[in-house]
Amino acid sequence: LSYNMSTVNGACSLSTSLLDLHSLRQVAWKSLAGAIDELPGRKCLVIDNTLLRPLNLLTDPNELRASHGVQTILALSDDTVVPSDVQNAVHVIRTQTAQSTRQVVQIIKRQLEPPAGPLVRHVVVMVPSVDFLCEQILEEEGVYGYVSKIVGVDLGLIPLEEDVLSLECDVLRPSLLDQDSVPHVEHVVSVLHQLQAMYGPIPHIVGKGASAKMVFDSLMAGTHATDKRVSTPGQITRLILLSRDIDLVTPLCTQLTYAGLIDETFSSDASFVDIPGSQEDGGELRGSRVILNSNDKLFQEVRDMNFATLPSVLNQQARSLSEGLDVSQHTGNLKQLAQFVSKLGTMTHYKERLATHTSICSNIAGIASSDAFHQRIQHEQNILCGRDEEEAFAYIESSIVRGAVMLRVLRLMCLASLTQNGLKAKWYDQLRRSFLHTYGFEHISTLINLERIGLFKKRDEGRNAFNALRKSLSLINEKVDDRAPDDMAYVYSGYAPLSVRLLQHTMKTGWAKAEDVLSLLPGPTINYDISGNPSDRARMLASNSGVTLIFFLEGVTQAEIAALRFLRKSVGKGAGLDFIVATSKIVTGDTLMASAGAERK
Amino acid sequence: MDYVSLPTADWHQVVNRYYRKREVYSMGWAPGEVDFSKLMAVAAPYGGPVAVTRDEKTIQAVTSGQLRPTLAMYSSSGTLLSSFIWDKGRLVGMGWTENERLICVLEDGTVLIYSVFGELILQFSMGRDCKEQQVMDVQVWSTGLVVLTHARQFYVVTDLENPRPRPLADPGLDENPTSWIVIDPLYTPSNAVEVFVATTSGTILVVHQQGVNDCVLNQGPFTKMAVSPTGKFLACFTSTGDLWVYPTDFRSELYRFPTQSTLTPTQMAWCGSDSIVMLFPKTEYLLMVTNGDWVRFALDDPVCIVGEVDGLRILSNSTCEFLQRVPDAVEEIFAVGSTAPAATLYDAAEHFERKSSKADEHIRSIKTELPAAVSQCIAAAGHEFSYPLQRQLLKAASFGKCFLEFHSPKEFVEMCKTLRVLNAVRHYEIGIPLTYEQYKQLTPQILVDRLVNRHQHLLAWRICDYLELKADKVMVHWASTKVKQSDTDDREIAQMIVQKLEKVSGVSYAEIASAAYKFGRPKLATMLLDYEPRAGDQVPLLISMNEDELALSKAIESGDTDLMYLALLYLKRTHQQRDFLRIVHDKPVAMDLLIAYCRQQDTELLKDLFYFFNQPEETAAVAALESYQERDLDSRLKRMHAALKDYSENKEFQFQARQTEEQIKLLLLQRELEASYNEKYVDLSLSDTLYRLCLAGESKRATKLRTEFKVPDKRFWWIRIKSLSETRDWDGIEKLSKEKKSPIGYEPFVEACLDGRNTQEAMKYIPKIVAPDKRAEYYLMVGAVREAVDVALKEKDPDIIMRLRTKTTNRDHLAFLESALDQFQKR
Repeated sequence: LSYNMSTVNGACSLSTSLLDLHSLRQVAWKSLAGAIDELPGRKCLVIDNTLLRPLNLLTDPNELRASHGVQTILALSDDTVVPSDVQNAVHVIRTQTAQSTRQVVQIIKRQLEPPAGPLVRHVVVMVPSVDFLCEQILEEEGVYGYVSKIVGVDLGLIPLEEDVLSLECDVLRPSLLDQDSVPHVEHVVSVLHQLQAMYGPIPHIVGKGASAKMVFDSLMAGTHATDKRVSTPGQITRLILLSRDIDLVTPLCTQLTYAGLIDETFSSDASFVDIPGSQEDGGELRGSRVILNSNDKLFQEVRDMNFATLPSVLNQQARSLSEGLDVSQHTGNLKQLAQFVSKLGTMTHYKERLATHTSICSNIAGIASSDAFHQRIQHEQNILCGRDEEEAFAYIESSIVRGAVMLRVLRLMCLASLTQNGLKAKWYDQLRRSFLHTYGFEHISTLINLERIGLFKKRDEGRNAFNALRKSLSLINEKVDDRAPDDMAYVYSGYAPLSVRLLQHTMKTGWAKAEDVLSLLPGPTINYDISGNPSDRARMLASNSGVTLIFFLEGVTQAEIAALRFLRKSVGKGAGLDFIVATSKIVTGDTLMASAGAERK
Repeated sequence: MDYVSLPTADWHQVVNRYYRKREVYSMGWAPGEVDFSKLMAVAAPYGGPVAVTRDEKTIQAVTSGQLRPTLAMYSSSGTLLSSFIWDKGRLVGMGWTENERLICVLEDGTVLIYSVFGELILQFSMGRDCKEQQVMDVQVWSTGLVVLTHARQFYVVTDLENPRPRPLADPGLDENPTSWIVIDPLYTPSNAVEVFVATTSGTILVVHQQGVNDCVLNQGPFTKMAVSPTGKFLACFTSTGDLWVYPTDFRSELYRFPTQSTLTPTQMAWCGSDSIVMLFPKTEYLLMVTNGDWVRFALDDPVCIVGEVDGLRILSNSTCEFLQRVPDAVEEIFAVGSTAPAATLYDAAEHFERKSSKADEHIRSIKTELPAAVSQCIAAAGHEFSYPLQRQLLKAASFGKCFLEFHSPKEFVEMCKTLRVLNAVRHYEIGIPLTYEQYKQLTPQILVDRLVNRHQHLLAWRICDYLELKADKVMVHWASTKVKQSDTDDREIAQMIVQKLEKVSGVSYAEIASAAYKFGRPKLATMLLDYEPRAGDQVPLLISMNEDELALSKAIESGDTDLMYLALLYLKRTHQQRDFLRIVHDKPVAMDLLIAYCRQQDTELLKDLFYFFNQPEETAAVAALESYQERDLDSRLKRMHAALKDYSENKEFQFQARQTEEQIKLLLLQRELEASYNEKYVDLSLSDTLYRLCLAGESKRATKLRTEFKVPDKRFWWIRIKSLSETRDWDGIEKLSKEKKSPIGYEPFVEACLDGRNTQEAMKYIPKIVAPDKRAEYYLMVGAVREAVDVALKEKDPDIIMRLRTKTTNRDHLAFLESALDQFQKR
C-alpha cells in the first residue's frame, strides 16, 4: 500500500511564468508542512487518494523524510493500517465527501482494538478547511478525543503549468447541483483573496453564469470598502469568472488535440498519466506513469496540435534528431564539435521524450484510427452542426444496443439534447428505456440528475439558444486545416469551443457590448470595474499590460486551454491576452458525466 | 518651599544604601472600622485592593452587630469597594489573582471567586478527595491556587477560567509541614507549579506534579517562607530565629541572619528583590533585613504588608505607606552632599528660578554630562509621588535641555504622559498607588483592565484615548455593566450603547449581548446582536439564547456554511421534525445544505424532508438508491415498491414508475432464473440477462423474456449475434440470418465472423450488405480484392476504389486496385 512518491516528481519548473507562481506553490507547501509539523518526531503520513498526486507537485518525498520526520506515506483506503511501530499519524483528507473522514475513523478505531499498542497520536488535516460535518462525524463515532488536533490547510491553486493553475478538487457538481455549491464558492473566494494578497488587487472583474455571480458577490462582500478604491492595480489586471454551465457542450465533445486525447484515453490526474504498456515493441507490457508538462520540451511543442498531425511531426523529429546525433557529420573541425556538444544535452532530452511520446502516440492511435472512433467523431460533428437529428438518434440508439462504454453514450445523449434544445418526447423515452435496459436500472438516478441539471431533457417550448450561438459565434468552421490551423476550431477538427469563442468575441467588442451573445447564455453577467469611471477604464484598458486570470469555476478541458493558447499566439503578446487559466480541475466529458450522476450513490 | 527642600526627611540609611518609608494615603475608612489586629487580611500587589474578614483562627470578642462575619474589600486608600455578609462556611484562606479577583477557599474545598464588587464570578470544588480530606491551608498565585488537605496532600488548579483540580505528587509527610509556599509557574524552570514544603526534619521538599525532590537541607525546620518578587530567591525563617536566604534552585545559600527571635514572624514579605521585612507578634516595629544588615521601622498601628516588585506596601489601620529602596536617580539628586551631574543640574534650575547667576556656573561645570543629567532628572520625577517634586524635577530637566542642541524630547514627553496617568490612578478616589516601576511591569493595558474591573470606565477610556490604546474592551465592559444597571427601556439602552460605541472600532456587540442575556434581558440582547458584524460571534450566542430561527437566518446571511450547519443541526436536535422542516422550508440555502448533509448522513430524514415538501419523486429516488444498498433481495424489493408508490403519485413521473415496475418484475424473474440455472442473474441489466440466457442456449426462455419486456427487434438481434459470436456458433449465426431479414443489417454478422477470424463464414454475409462502399470494404478486408473491385464496377463508381486504396497497405492489393482504376479511366 505504501505509495512511492519518489518515482515521480517533476512539477513544472515555472521559470518563465507571467506571475511569480513559485511563491504560490511555496505558500501551499508551507501551510501543509506546518500541519505535518504539528506532531513532533517521527510520523506516518496517511494521504487521501485524490491528494496524492497534487501533493507530489508541491513537495519532494525526500524533503518530507529529511525535514519533517515522515517515516512512511500511506494511501488512505478502507483498510489502511498504520504500522505498529508508529506513534504519530497525520491524516490528510478532503472534506468534500464524508467517506475519507469515515476511513480515518476506521483507522483510529483499528488502532484501539485489543491488543492495544502504545497510544498513537493523530492529527487530521482537512483540505481545504476544517469542515463542521467532518468534525461531527469524528465526534459521533467517538474518536474525537483521540485526535490531538484538527488543522485546515488550503492548498489553494496548484500550478500545473506556467499558465494553468488548478484547485485539484473534483467539483464539477457545484454549478450543476446547487446543494454543494456553497462550500466550493467559499473555497474559490478564499483563494481569490489569497491571490489578491500576493499579486495585488484585481481592478477589473467580468464573468458569466450562476456560480460566477455567487463567487463575485461573496468576493465583494469580503472586500472592505477601502480596499476597493485602491488606485494601483496589481499584476493581475483582469479576472474572468466563467461557470461551466454557460458551456456544457464543449466538454462533451471528444477532444482532438494531443493532450486532450491523452486525457480522454488515459484520464490524467494533476499532470500525471498512467500509460498502459504496448505489446508492439518487443512484447513489453509494462505500463508506466509519466508526468506531462512543459518541463518536457517535446510535449510542450506538440501537446496542443491536432492528433492527426502528430505521427508525422514525431517522425520528422526522429529524423532530425538522428541526423543531429550523428557525430560524424559534425566533427569537421573543433568549432563544429563544440557546437555539437553544446546541443547534446537538449538532444538527449528530446531523444528520451521522443521514445515516451511515440509509445503514447501508438497507444492512442490504436483507438483513434478505429472505425468506431471515426464514426463517433463524424456523428458528434453532425450533432454540433445541427444536421439530421434522426440520424443522430439512430446512432446513439445503436451505440447503446451495442453496449458501448456507458459514459461515452451519456456524453452523446447529452450533447444531442443540449444542441437540440432537448430531444423529441418519443426519442427521449426510448433512449432512456434502452439505456436502463442495457446498463441497468440503478442508473435511473443518473438520468434524473441529468434531467434536473438540464443536460438531458425532453424538448420544451423555448428557443434553441445553441442554434443562435452557433451562428453568432461561428462555432463551426469545417474548412479549418488541422495541420496548419488558422482558427482555434482545429482543436475539435471543425468546432471552436464555445467558451473560448466567447472570450475571443468579447476581446473585440468589450464585455459590455457583447450583451447580444451573453444574453443567449444562462445566468447573470458580471462586469465590474473598480473605478466605475468609464474614462479611467478606457485608460486602464489602453495600458493593458497586466495578466488576465481566466477562472473556469467547474473545470476546463485541455482542448479549451489549447484553443486559448492558439488565440494568444494569434493576437500576439501584450494584446490583452496574457492569460493564466485557473480552474477546479482539468476535466473531460467522462469526468463531467461521472460527477453529474453516475457516482452519486 | 519646605516640602521640596527636604525630600530626604524620610530616608533611612542601611549599610550604604538609603531606604524611604512614605505615607501614600491616610485611610478613607472610619477610625476603628478596620483593625488589622483582629482580621484576616490579604492585599493584592500592584497597588491592588485589600480584602478583610474576621479571623476565625483567633478568638475575639464579638461586638454587637457583628454576629455574623462580613467580608469587605477596600481600595488601597481605604475606600470601601464592597462588603457582604459571609455565610458560605468556614474560610481557610484568601488570595488575589492578577486580574484582581478574590479567591476564597472553604474548608470543604469549595472555591469562590469574587470581583472587587463582591459579585460571585465563579464557584467550583477542588474535588471529592479534598472534600473528604478537608482543606487545611491554601496558597494563591497570580493565575492559580494550591490547597493542602489534612491528609497532607496538595491539589492544584492552574487555569481559573476552566478549573480542573489535579493532585500534586504525594510528598509522603508524616507530620504537618512547618510551612509551605507556592512559586508562580512563570518563574519555575519547568514552567509547572512547584510547592516548597518545609518539614519538621529541617529540609525543604519541592513538590510538583511529576514527583517530589528533597533539597537536603539541615538548617530548618523553617516556620515561615517568602518568595522574592521575581521568584529567584526564597527567604526562610527557622524556629531558632535564623533567617536564611536561598536561590530557588537551592544550589547555594546566600546568607544567614540571626534575629534571635524565638517567635515566628506573623508576616514576612520581600521588599523589592533585595530585602526582607518581618513583623513579629507583640512587637511594634517592622524588622527589615538587607544584605546582612537590618533596620527597624516603628509602627503606630497593626498592619498588613504586601510585597511589590520594587518595595513593600504597608497598610495600617490609619494609613497606607510605601517602603522602598531609594531609586538611584533620586538618590543621586537628593542625597546630602551629592555632586552628581543630575544634582548639580537640579541645583542650577533652583538657582535659575531664584534668578541667581550661579545657575549658569553650575550648568557650565557639567556641560559634558548634561544629557545624562537631564535623563536622571526625568527618571527621578517618575519615582516621586508628590506633584511639586515631580514638577520641580521636570523643570530641572527642561532647563537642562535648553543647553543641549540635539536632545530628543521623546523621553521627556513620555514621562509627562506616564506621570499624568499615574497621578490620575493614584488619586485617593481611585486608590491605586502604582510606582513607575510597577506601572512598567504591569503595562498600561492591564492597568486599563483593572480600572474597568473597578467600573472606572471613564478614566479607563480617557487613558486609552490619551495613550492611544484600543478602547473597545473598555467600551464593551462599560456597555455590559450598563445593561445590568439600567432600569430603562430596552430600546433606549440599545440606542444609547450603539450611539456611544459607533465610533469605536472592533467592539464586540456579541459580548454585550451575552451580558444582557445573562442578566435576563433577551430582547435587549437580540437588539444589540444585530450590530455584531461578526456572524461567528453572533450565531452561537443566538443559539444559546434559544433564538434558533434568528440564528439560522443570521448564519445564512453570513454565508458561512459551518455556521449554517451549526444552526441547522441545533434546530434539528431541539425541534420536532415537523417544526424543524417548517423553519427550514422557506430558506433555500439552508435547504440545499440540509439536503447535502442528509445525502451523506441521514437518508431517513431526507425522505421525510421530501415527503414533507411534497416531492414524492425525490423520496422515490432516495428509496430507489437505498434499495441498492440492501443486500437481501426481499428488503430491496420492499424499498422498490415504496419508490414505485411514490413515483405513481404524479403523472409526470410515469416513466420512472414504469421503469421501477419493470425492474421489480425483472428482479423477481432473475430470482427464478437463479434458482433454475444455479447461476448469478440478480443485478444484471435486462440486456445482460438476455445475453446470458442466449449464451446458455436458452433461446426460448430468452424470447419469452424479450416479449414480456417488449425489447425491440434490433436490440434483441444484437444480443443474439453477440452471444453466438462469443460461442463461435457459426451454424447458429447462419440460422439467425435466415430467420428473417435482419433488422440491423448484415454488417454485425460479418463483424461477428471477423471477430472469430473466420473469413469463410464472413463471405456468406458480405454480399447481403446493402451499402456498396461497406460491401467493398469488407471484401477487401477479408482479402477478396477482386470481389471488392466488382462492387465498384457494378456500381460504376470509381470513387469506391479510390477510397479502398486508403484502407490497405497490402502491395498486391494496391497494385490490383491501381490497375482496376486504370481500366475505369480507360473506359
